[in-house]
Amino acid sequence: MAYSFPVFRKGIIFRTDRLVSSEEAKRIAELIVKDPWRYQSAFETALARNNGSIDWETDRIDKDNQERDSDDLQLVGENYVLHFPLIGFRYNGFTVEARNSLTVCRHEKKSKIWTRLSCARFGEARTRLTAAEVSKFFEFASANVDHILDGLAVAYFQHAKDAGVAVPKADGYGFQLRAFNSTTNNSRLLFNRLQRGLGVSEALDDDRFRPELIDYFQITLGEKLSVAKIKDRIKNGNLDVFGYKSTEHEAIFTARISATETDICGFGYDDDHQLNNSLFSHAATKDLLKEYAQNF
Amino acid sequence: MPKTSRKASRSTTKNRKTAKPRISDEFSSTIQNVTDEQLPPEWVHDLNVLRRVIKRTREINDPRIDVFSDKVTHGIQQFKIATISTNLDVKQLREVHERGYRVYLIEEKYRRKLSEEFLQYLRQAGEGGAQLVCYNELAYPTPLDGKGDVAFKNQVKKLVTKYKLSLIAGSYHDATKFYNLSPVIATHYRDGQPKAIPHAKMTSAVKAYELIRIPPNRHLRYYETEHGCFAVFICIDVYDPSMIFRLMMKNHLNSTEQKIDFVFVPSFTLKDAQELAEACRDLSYASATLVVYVNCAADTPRHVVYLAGEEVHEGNAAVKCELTKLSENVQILTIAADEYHRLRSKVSDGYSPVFNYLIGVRDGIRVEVKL
Repeated sequence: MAYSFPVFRKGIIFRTDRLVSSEEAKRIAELIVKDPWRYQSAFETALARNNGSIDWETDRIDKDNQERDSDDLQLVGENYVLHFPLIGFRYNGFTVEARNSLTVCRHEKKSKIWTRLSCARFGEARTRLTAAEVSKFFEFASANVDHILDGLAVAYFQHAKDAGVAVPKADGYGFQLRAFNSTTNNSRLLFNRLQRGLGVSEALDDDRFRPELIDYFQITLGEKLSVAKIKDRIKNGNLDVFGYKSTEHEAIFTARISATETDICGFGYDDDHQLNNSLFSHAATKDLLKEYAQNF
Repeated sequence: MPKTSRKASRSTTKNRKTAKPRISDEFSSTIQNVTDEQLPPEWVHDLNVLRRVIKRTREINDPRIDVFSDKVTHGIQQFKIATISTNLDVKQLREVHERGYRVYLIEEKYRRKLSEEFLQYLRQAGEGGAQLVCYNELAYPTPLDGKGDVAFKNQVKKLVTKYKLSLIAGSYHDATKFYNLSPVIATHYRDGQPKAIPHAKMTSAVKAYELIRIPPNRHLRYYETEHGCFAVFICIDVYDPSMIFRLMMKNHLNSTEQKIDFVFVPSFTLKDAQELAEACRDLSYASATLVVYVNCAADTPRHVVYLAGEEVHEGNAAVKCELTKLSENVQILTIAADEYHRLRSKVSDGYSPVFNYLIGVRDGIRVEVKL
């Protein structure tokens, strides 16, 4: 069991040409701050409708939320960023922590809704996962995330309407970020070498690195592929592979971009046993999300 | 690392770009362009050194706020900023060289005239509807603990109250403590009375023979007023990397710290106004904010405002604004809050990944890997 703490983030960037003024954005944001529970309710309804019985973890999460900074509404840059309370639940063996966020944008910028699902553990207390379990978590998240975002979008458009801002309902461009940690020394060496000139194709031929790279590409692509086929896809430019480097982490990411959605998936080394904000999977997805989102 | 390998990395990116299928959709092509922006790995070490150096600014510079108003300023529809460039001449100043400091005080025979002009300009700005007013450096007639000083200060405060102004009253050299102080005056929310806070210059203009006392605390100071949140950099303080980097970090799009809306740069230079104005332009770009530069009559430009790297004047089609020239000494700039925010967003969005990484708000960067 080499992997830990998969994190799944997905957002919808609303495709609308209706420009929201500073004053309108403020009105919408203030209304949302007064009634954040509408989003929690939308999340819970969407999840329960799709999966039946969910075991909600209210006690522990309530404690976490009480300890949070009470500053829920932030004016970040020129936009209002709202982070809703943490939601915890158990389903199919996974203990999941989720948080919804909303960015109310003004002028040419487009508003966005995000949800994050982080796997805190599997079974009673296990944080180390197999590749199959990581895949299973991402499949679960993927099967639910669109329902959740639909529910959140309905809540947002209702809030805009309540604030007297006529924002026509619009479809969205999907932006998905997935990442998980590898805990092995081989992976630590792999990321170090990749950033110092070792090719991905060369690493696939190296016995030390091949098993985890095959796991990674299978999790990313959602299908079993031979080494030859992975190399072929990289060579043909069908997979956009890039490195990621922060002060704490080195990693590899793959981007798949279509006309309706972008999916970015990565893995990096981190052997921490606790789910926290500085974990590779958590920190890198947040970091890249900020970078991509600010372009819209 | 030899330069040849850097060239090789660049060409790899170029080749990959051409090989990758392009998607015509506006959203996906934007993301594809972002994904393409990958740095050669051999740059990372040096970038990290620079990043650490810049980030350490936080260790010695913890911004300090003085609150005049607790009102939220997000509801402001437009900003009206007056710049006042006085005719103060070096001949009207006398040098005081004491205890190793060298400061310049207004000659007694000119004090009355300059004080009257000061008040006259302030009235003009107030009548013109200004909200924020900034004078050039040394424009405030030097207080010498005389009765007239208190009366003058009270007259200034009265006008601040009458016209509901936030005032950066130029500056003066303190005759006994040897600071260069800019009185920042605005109505205080607690008692509704005008309050003056002295803002000290942080750097001696040694080349101009100014040797002033420097406050032991060199943190970025800023002021929250009903007209917005602003910092004051007196003249060559605008060259201080600690101040500039700290402001850039604070004002970055992704920073969760309070944003500074304006930076006022009162200056008194006989020959370096152009260089100082250029520094203001750079600051306005790097901190995505509006920077107001005011010099005395001795050198041009006397009044210039930059927003997000753009010079703000009616001839610049990139910025919608209105400039009212009341005289050679007094100008009022009006800019809508929406236009102001639009330009701030535009410049913030245009920063390169390197810029975003260096000033410390992004955790990581995308680097090329060999395929």
